[in-house]
Amino acid sequence: MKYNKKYVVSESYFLQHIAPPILAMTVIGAIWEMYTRLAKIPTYILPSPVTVIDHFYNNFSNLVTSGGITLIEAVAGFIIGSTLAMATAVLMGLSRILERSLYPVALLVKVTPMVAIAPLLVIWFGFNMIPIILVAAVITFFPVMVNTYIGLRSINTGILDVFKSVHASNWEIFINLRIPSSLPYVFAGFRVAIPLSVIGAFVGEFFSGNRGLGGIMFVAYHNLDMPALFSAILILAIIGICLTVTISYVEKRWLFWHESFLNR
Amino acid sequence: MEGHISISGLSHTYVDKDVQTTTLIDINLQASRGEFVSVVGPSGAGKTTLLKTIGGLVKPSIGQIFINGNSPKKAQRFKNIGFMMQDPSLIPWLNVMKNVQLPLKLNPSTNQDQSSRALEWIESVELTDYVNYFPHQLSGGMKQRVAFARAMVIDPDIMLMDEPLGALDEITRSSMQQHLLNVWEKTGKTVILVTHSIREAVMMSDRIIVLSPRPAKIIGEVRVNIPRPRNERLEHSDIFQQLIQETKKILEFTKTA
Repeated sequence: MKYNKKYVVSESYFLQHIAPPILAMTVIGAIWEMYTRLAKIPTYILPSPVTVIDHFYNNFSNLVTSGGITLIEAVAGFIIGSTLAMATAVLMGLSRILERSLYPVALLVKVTPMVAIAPLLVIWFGFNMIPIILVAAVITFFPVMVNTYIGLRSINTGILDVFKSVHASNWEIFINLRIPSSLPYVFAGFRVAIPLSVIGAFVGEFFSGNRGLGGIMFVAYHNLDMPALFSAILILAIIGICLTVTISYVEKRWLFWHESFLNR
Repeated sequence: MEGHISISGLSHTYVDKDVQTTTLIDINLQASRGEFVSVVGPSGAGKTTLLKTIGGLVKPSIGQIFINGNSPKKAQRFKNIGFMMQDPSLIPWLNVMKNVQLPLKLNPSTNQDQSSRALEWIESVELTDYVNYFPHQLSGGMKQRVAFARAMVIDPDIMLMDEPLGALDEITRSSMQQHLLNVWEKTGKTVILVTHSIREAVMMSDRIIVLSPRPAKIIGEVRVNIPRPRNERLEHSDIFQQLIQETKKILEFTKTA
């Protein structure tokens, strides 16, 4: 028998997991709509959901194209940032001196606000995708690096003894034990980093002001075009949710053996 | 004469947060080829440390250990040592087959046929139907059987077992004891078994070594001259009860001393 769990959206899954948030959002939307109508709130302060949906519908292709650009930048930044983060964590695990020299640098980058770094990168690399991807990469780096580093060290000593009892090399221990053991931690880092990468891409775009959802919001903000702002926020939220769901799906497939997925 | 396992003047001390703790003092122990030796003693005495030192996982502070005339590290390199711990320590992301194959894959020596060797041992512990199962899908007893197959797959000269049946329920435990005995009688490995169950020690071994509370010294030895093959019915015999009492007496003496 081969162990293979199928992931199918069943009726009970829909009722338990999908229906409640939809219901909640509908209720919130209805209250919001009634409030803006009854209290006669002007659109430039708070647009009603219907106005936002109307704008969303009329500018759909523009919003989707811009959203696509932001998505590509976020994902590219996430991939570059996490790859570098994992490599750094491995280096730090290999040598104490590297750990002591690299960790403070990483910490320095982490505590510096992204909005302070973003304009610098835009000036250095120009009004193109590069600075935006870099912002997303930098913001992704730290959570993935720290989690990978902790993960590589969190190995079961009993299993390690099994490896040592047959004189396994450090390389064999690294490949067959340390890396797989670190995956639950790495994925925890990914789950923190993926929404951050969207924020990073958005902040980068906001400073270059000419592309993606950040670009749309930059213009809309200066024109007090609230329906456009809300539509862009909506797309940003959708991108964040899709990316998080993707990561969770991959995590579930790879970490079926981990305590956090057993008995679920 | 040098034994198959030969330990002389072994002591072990470790320092943790500036506190020095001695776990083993002047242990001298010989085990001849094919002998089944049990080690009993109060909990926390240092039985596990002794076993890990013999297996080369812990370095002795003083003293020497030879396995088949080699140092424990060298014995590890030749894959002469099979380990079985109280915790099965299976790799959660590998299925039963791959867990059992693991010691063959690591530090590979010859072009042995890994899958057929592994399958043989999986068959011997009666888990053939479970080769594709993952550890979290197995019961405690099944996991221990996988751990046993994994220890045996490299065909080690000596087996070091640290309360391997300690976490099992009574029924599973006695059937596992029988299984271990059968395999041992067939393969003739030299076994050192750490256990807190005197009953288990008498049932399984040729000789019982009794340790004092920490720091552990050898304070007694009981020879189990009961013919083999042995089975559960033995437990009701006079000689069995006598040996249990004898071992208990040595253990209790350490408490009052």
